[in-house]
Amino acid sequence: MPGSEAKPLLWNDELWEELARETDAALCFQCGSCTATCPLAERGKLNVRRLIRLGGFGLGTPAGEAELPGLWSCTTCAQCNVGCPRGVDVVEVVRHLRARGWRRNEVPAGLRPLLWAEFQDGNPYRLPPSQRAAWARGLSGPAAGATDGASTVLYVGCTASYDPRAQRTARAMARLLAAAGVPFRLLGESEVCCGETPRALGVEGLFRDLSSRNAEQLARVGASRVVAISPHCYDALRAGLSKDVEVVHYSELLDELVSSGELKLAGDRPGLVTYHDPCYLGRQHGIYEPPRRLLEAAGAKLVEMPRSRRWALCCGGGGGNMWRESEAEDRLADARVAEARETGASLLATACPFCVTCFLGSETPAGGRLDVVDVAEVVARAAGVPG
Amino acid sequence: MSGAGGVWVYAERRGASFRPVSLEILGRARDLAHALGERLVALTAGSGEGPARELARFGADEVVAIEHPLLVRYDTRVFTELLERELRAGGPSVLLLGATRDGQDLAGRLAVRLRTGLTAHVTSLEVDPHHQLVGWVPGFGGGIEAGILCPDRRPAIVTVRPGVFPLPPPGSAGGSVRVVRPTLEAESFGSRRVAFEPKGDGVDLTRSDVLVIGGRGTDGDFGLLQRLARRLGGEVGATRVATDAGWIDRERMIGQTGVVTHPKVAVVLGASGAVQFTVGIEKAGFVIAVNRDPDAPIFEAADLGVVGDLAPIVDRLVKELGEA
Repeated sequence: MPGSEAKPLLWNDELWEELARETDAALCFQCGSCTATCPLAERGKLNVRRLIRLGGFGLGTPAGEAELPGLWSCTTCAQCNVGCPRGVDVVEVVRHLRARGWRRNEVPAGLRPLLWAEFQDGNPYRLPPSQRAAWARGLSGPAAGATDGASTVLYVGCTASYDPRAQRTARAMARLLAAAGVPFRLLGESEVCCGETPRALGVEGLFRDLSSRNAEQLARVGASRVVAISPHCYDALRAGLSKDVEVVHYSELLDELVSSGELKLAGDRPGLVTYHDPCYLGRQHGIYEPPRRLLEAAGAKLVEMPRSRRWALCCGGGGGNMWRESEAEDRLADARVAEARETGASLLATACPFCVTCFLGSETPAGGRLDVVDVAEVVARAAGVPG
Repeated sequence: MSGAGGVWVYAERRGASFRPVSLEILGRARDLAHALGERLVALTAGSGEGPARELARFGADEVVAIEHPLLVRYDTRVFTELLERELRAGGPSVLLLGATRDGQDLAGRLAVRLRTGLTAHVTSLEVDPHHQLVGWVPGFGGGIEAGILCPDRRPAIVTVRPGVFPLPPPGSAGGSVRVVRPTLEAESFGSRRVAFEPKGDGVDLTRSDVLVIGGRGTDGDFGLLQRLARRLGGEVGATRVATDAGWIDRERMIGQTGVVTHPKVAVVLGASGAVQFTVGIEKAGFVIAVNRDPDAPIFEAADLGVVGDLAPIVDRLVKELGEA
């Protein structure tokens, strides 16, 4: 018999209709394939199928966790979408349910300051906009990204702008574009966050606001093509900018430049390398091969982890989780680093600053040495222009 | 009533000084009072009148200081009563408070008592062409920024988010100070402090001028860090890797999901330097980093970098500094 404290559940037509109108939750027939493949469900943290079902009951409690378990832990890795026989975009359902949480003031502590930082400083780290271009100090000539009339903008993103380690990826990209003779510009201090984190957290309005601030700056410099460093920025810029601005991920552009011979790689011989597919590049946008081709062109011998391409295990950083604390035993990055070690590779390469940060932060002190690096930096070394 | 009106700012005490947000508001309120053609009054309540005299240096035409030895700690009931009395007597047209825990507590109660409007958590303030105060509030849910007016009732009460206005430089004392000495008894208070027992070992890293911070590279030897911290008169902090490993308490974790500190000197030992950590020492006056890896990103955030093994370097440093 159910607990005596349980209250009868009444289907909430209004909430269900809204969910069905704004997402494709109505396609769901509750088979549970999503839950079966969810890496957090594996750890008992999230039941995706139940989340979709409960969404129609309009349940929610303070922090939304007790009755919609795992709603805010979801990393929006989209593994659930891959196995869904009905083609439901579950990530969209999660965003919708989170938006409902904001409307009802049922959000976990710690997320509000993050949105304030985005709103006021244009970045989630609460760092001053005046320091946004600091990563580019020391770059000169075409690599400084000040070529007048250049129609390509290198969109650096918050992490590559402010994270001392990820700044190397940004510098590598600037030098690579210069080496390949691609004239480009930087938005410098007027670049703001792409808004991917607010969007994943269900705060669509702030995402739109940030998008339009970037769109204005891109229009000001006359950009027709934007090169994103982070797959999260790539995703958000594609969703937020008008269609006359072409958004590409750096791996696609570098891949083209290497195949056409405009970017020459001497081969740095990085040895045995395993590549981790970032969720927002692979599963979300189907970009699996360009980073791999780049690593091989740089002289790497690739070895795959058992879970790769559309089955790649998430690093755990998406969906706002870069800014929330997690229990050490729930960290997907630990599992992923262990998988990478098992391949025997000496280098774990990926193409997302969140993934790099999570992997570096989760390498347990007892573990052996495994270098973690962004593909752009491997390519830059092979091109003789290290960041 | 003569002298009625005015832009009033509630200056919230913190020890012998004020919360920065109160001074930030005073700086902005100076311009608003000018635009509205009204006086600027700073209202404060606490124990000891010394700090109140300081307020006159931040642009207020008058400082109203409610003073009593029992006002050493904030109390909802007593502060509401005392402030209500002064507000009714002074009849301001605007009352501004910091959106701090106590400021929000007071603002709501005062608005109800005075039957007036409250605009909460504004991020900017301006005077419109009709001489109305407009408080701007962003609404994250709707992607809008709302300008909120209080057209009919007075005072228009507004709480202001900390950090949105610059801290004004103190000028020379200009305004007058009026001290109000209420009659209060311990029984007037809704609560009383029985004891103060901080959580854990009660360390507050945000108050430390010197921090010795350890990361993965310490291999758990926090005894060494403690010796150095003792000699420097500072506290020990840690990165997430170090707290995860159980080398030190979680409350000493510095960074995005830990404590954001602002020491004069931070000595960072064996930390690689991800932004999730460096935001926690972003406001440090001087950062010294020691790391075995010359390529460690922490050196980008450091004013002084030393490449080498931690133990011998710290040992040597401890010896040089002598016994504490």
